[in-house]
Amino acid sequence: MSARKNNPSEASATEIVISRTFDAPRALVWQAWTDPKHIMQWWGPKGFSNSDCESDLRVGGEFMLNMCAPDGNSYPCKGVFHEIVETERIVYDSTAEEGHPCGAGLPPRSRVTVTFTELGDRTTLTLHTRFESAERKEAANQAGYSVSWGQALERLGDHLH
Amino acid sequence: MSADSLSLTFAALADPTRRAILARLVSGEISVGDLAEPFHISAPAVTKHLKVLERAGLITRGRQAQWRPCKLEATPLQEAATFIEQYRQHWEQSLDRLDGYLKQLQAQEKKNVRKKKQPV
Repeated sequence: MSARKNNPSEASATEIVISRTFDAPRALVWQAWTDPKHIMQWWGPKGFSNSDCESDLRVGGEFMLNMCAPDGNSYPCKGVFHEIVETERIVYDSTAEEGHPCGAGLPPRSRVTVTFTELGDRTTLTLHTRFESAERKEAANQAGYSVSWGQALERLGDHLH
Repeated sequence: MSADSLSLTFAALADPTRRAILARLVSGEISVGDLAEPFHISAPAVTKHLKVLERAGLITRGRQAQWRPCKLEATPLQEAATFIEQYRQHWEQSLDRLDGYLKQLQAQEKKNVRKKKQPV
């Protein structure tokens, strides 16, 4: 992965951003986010559980988790740590197989960046998912990408309904 | 829906001209010539964008010679929207659970501190 892709000015067409503020100090949120013992307690939608989780928390290290749905189906989550800034930022590159669009949180060919921002005793977590595609490079070379495809999609959706 | 067709849809939507073309097609079928007009780009450039949209299944083109009208196909867009909704649900609900878990951890911590302070 080239450094160029991290340039925020390229923030482009294929991304989803989800944000949440927790009433907890940043060090604790970081711990809950990175320690498999803690991760297994909350990762996944309501009613899901996790059978196992391994995290080699260093750049190039692997992350894996097996998420179990209430109906018994298992959903693997697989990725590699692209970047780690202790208590501040963690970047995953998904290594999910194509058959699992959501990838239990890390969709195939996506890069997921999680940032932890301190707000006194509270912490804002921002989860940013970017989908890589063959045409993304080409797209990044062009200007005027302030509108995300998510917004575009919503607008189109409004038209279609 | 496969991740492959999803990524085709996303790639097709990544371009503002293509999004504008789709928006125009919402109002009905249009010929390539009419479609090119407001974009100040050449008909061959528009044709190139149409090919990307067609490959992603976002539009179809009529077979009538000359005219070949473009038509919006809603299915891949709806599938992409469904995917986004599921993905958001995954994280919104995970973050709900994390919120509850953090509260639990902090309550536990307080309890431990109190215990330590108690005279033996």
